[in-house]
Amino acid sequence: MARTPVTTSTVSVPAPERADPATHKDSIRFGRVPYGAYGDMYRDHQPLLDYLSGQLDRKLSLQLFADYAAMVGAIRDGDLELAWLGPLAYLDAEKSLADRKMHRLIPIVKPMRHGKSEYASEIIVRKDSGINTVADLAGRSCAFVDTTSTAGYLLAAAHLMKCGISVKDPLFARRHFLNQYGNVVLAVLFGKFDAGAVFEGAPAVFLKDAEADRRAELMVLTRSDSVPYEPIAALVGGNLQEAEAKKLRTLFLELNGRPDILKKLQVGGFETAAPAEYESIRTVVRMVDRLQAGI
Amino acid sequence: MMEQVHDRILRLSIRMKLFIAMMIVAIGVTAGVTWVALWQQEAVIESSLAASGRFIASSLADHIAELLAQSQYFEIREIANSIQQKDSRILFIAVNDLTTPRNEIVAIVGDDRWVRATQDIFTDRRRTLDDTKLYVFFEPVQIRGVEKLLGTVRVGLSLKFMQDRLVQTRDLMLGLMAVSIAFSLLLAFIISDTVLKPLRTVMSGILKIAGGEFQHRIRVESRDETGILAGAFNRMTDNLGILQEIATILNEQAGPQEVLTAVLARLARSISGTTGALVFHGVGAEEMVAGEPDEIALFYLRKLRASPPPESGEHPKPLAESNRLCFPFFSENEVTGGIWMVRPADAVIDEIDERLLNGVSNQLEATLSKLEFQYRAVTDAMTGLYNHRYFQQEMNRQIDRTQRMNGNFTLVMSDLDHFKRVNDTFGHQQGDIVLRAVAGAIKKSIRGKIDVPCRYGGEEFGIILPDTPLEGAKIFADRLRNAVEELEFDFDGRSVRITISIGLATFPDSATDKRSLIESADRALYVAKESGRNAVKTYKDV
Repeated sequence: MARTPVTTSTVSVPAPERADPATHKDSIRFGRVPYGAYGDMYRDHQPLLDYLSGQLDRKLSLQLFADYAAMVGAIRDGDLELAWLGPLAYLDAEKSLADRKMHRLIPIVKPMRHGKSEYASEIIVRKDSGINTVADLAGRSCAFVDTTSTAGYLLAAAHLMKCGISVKDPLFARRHFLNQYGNVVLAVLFGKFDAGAVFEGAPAVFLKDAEADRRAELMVLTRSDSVPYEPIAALVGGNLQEAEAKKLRTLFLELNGRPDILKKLQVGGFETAAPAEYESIRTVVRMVDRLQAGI
Repeated sequence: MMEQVHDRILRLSIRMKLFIAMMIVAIGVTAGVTWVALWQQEAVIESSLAASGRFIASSLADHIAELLAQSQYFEIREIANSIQQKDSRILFIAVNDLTTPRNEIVAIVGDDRWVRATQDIFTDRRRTLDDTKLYVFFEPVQIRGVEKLLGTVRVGLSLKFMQDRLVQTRDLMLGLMAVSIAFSLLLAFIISDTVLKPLRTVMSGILKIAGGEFQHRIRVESRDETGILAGAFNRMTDNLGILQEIATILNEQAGPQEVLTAVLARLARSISGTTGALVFHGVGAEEMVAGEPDEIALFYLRKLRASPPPESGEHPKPLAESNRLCFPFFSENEVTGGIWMVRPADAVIDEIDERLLNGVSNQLEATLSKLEFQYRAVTDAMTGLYNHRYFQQEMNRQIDRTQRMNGNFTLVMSDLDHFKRVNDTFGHQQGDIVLRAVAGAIKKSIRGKIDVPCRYGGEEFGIILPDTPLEGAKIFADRLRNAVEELEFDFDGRSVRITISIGLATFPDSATDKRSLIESADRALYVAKESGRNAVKTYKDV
């Protein structure tokens, strides 16, 4: 899941703004699903937009979408030039452009967090739960985030299946989605579920202040294979030319020397992203589709 | 001097007493009001707080039931957070999940110490923790229609804001108390000034009068109790003055009629109103009336006199009705007279008037009895002139006095001409009328209390004129002779006139002893008779 995991806020986002046809040729529309308050999003992205506009000599505008599906729709309609997508959304968007020969979605960069440009899913359990191996999970209960969550479900489910947990196992049959990583961490800590699927280091993020001491009650049972962080992709062929897309990649990579802007964006830096990196996710999705289908 | 007396008597002045009383009232009232206000306010705030706490706890429990069932802990925490942010009274909110093995507290907002310390609370309850007073509300979390208990909600509301309000109210009330005390003291000052100023005037007046200034009158114009007090005191002083003056009149050697007239005149001058008196045992046992006759009073007094004496010997009650007071004299179990007072129609007789009249009547009663006894001893009952015995005594006194003073006096001896004929023709009663009329003429002719008119015997009168030489006496004698000559009587339809012959002798010119002087005057009278009567002759004409 591409949404920045540290946020716990749900933001109500209005329908995406439709740019004026007379002007949108000049401006590059940059889409994003908010991870915080609407106003905060504009404030935090303004330095980035100013920076890119200055360097490109083209105006950039931020467009916020309620969810990835809406953003994927805008990409298909050619209403976005630049999009900060989730890994799955990227795959969906690319798929939706299959019949559009003129347009291509090119991942240009991916963010880095804590020095890493990829992430994995972890299965956490209570230390006193008696669960020491993945095999011990058979027949136990497990909490997930939601069906579209990469670390909170897809990577974890695929990993468990790879490790031998049967699709028919009660763990999958009674799978619980708690909507937020934080809920999963707490539900496992409180013993309401035997295990939970979260992103790497999630207990440290959610167990703070008075609850920080309780991190020790949890342990990571297993870790999935890593996948790259969500890509920032450019829609080439419409209002944006390939040269400009390359220029944008360069500019994003140059941001690594601008910690002020990076801090606002809550990332450690950017790395070049390539389409092939996201192929592993396709495999995961296929496996989980089997799970969804119950086969 | 007044202040010295003042200081010696005063221990705690009225003003100070008033100040203290006002202060006690102000403090008492405001303290009472403060206590009631604080008590009421605490009850109202606590009841309102309890309602809020219950509402918050039960609303939160309803709201999070589904979320708790779905382990949506972060949503629950957000809701609890947002509730607390909206209400500063909330010290903490704690949600327990009873479906977890250890009944975990899954959401804590606020200080975790309070949450731990109130874990055992399963009803609404007040608690004090580390000097903080709080009200803890407890609510079970259940999904509607499902019996299973999912969790609990505890909400702790601070009572600090209530205490703050109470402190605010208390401070306000203390301020009010200060203002009220200040106001009371001001009021006490004003009242004491208003009340005490006339009182001080009264006191100062009384002290002046006590110091001998009997003419001083207290001037208090207020129409309140002090004004009445001052008025009463002034009247008392007036009345004392009246009684004193009356006592002086009574001590003067005069006849009852004169005494009575003088006393009534004094009373009439002092008490605005008509006064009169009636004495029954007057000269000749006739009624003696002074002042304007008042029919009602006369009727009342005569009726009293006619009634049998009261068995108990009590003083008969005065007749007092609106503007009239009739006060009987009572002596030796007998009503001997009375005094009355009729005031103008719009005035009333009050207690002070009654007491004054009582005092006057007591004095008058005693004096009149004494005077009448003395009067009868020296007076000729028929003519009201001095009798022969008094004449002889007065002659001795005059001779002694005149010799001592080296002065002179003249004796006037007179005799009615042909009086026997009146008696013989018209009878002795008509003769008595003539004698009384001549006595009246003599009284009118003499100089008030200086000359001494006496009935010497029969139709003969002796009049002593002190400090009067012969020439002066002659003028008097001529005047008397003329006055008698002008008297006219109507006996049986006949007009009758009478004349008088007069002889004068002056001491010590004509004689140097009593006997010789009387003889000398008698010889002059004889000469007058001889000269044809209705004449005045002196010892020089002899």
